[in-house]
Amino acid sequence: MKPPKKKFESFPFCLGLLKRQIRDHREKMESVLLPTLTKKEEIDRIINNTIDKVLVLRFGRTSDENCLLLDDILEKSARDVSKFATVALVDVDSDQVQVYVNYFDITLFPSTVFFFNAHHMKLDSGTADHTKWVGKFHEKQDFIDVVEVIFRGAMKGKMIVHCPLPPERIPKFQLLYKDV
Amino acid sequence: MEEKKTKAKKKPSKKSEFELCKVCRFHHDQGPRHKYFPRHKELLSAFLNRFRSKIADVRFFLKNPSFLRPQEESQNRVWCVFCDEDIVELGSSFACSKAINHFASSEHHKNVKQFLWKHGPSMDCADDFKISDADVAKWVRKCTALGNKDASSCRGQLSSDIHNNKLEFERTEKVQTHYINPNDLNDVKPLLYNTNEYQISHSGVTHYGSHLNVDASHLPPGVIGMTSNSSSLYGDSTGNVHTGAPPPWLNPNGGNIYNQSDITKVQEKLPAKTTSKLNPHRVGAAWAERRKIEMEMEKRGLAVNINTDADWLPNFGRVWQSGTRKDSRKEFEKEKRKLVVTAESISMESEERKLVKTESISVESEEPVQIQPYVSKRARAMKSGE
Repeated sequence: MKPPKKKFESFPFCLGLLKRQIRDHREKMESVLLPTLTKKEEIDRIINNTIDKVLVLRFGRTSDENCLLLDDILEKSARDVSKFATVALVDVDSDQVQVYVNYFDITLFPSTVFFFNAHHMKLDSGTADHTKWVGKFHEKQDFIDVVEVIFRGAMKGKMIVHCPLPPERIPKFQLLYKDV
Repeated sequence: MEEKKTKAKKKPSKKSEFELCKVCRFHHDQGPRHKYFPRHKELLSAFLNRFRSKIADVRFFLKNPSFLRPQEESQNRVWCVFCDEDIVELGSSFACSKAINHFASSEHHKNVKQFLWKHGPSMDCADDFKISDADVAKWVRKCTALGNKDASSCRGQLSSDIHNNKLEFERTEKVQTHYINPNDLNDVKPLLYNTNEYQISHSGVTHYGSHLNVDASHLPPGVIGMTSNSSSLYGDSTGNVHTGAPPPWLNPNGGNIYNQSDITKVQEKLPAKTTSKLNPHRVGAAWAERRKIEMEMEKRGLAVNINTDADWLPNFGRVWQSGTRKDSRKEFEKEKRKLVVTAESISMESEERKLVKTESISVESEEPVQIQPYVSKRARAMKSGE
């Protein structure tokens, strides 16, 4: 039996091309689609002004490839979830944002935090950290499913919801307490 | 024996044709005895109670007539279950005027009797769903009195008495009105102005101006197409709806003919706009309601945003803290204050060092991190119980 053909034989090349395309696309569409927040006031404002909708805050940097892949998915699905969710990007390299990076215990990037009516929504995805989603989503539909589950739970008064994704689609990571 | 046999023979129950019961909302073949069934009686009393509450609202306006604003016309509608008719107050100048006239009409009375004869076991409650002519006459008098009080404003008086079928228009000073002699209603007047596009497109009732809410159905045939007489259409300096001028009752110079209390009363009585009802038990419901009010006030420029505090943080359930989200936020704020204090002490000491030139002092001595194994809540509770 022939071994299955590898789809991405030139994977690093494709990834590099994808990164460039995503960066170009982001530069064009950034101001139009997803707001990038660099100040604490902006984050406070968006948390306070998002009413009856899930607020998705992505903490990451544009230089990170995983962030770029996640941003691509967020941008593509922002319109689909616009009726019940608002998506925003937070640049962790900004000084004013460090207070939130420390407060939210963000050590791995990208990390996505969910809010509903200024209340933090937790997501039990089987990982060690229920307070945020660490890593990227496998595809657009996964992100939409997660946001939908959070919205449904929030509308029923639940502050922690179960992740609807199968374990193989959930990024694995190791949580270290103060690098121990 | 034969008599016994005949007696024993029960008459087969007559099954009548299937018919729809409007009250129970299903088809049945029980015939006229359906109205005596207990379920039907219960549903009928609920059905009639619902309509009674609607009629009570209309009776309120019968006793307290008030003007109807054009923007609220579409909201002020009633469905008459006896006549199967939707009564919309389009073109009415007084709230529920068409509904009052409908409930006083003989056709409605007839339909009520028919409905109760068909569905209800008793005709006692027929009067609850009718409005007498005496009440209507009182209401008309109140309306005319109300209209006369505000004759100085630009609104024309409209009699809603359908029996007389007369329309009287009062000339006012401020806004152009077109006086129509009721005697000449049936005569066709020659055109006094050159035909133009406006006249062609707005021929008929709208020629009288929007401030006169004329219901075309009340006009006798031959009236449509009437044009104005003496004064020019657009000669008035105050303007009209076609020039984009505000309606006279909202003119601040002229003074509002409505009191704010009247407006609020009317608004309370009118059916509220249907808004999507969100679950009151959803996460952050109370906060959301407060925030919506605050945002509305901010839009109007009344209140300033309270959350201008730079140190504000949302409640967040941290990873390494136990307890509520509020507790973890307070703990973080404590840590932040400690860091600030230590940072200040470091800066002060560095300044002292510069001045005094003493030996370097280690400022921070971090508490050694005590790593303890995780103990679940149940185990902790058992230990404490022991």
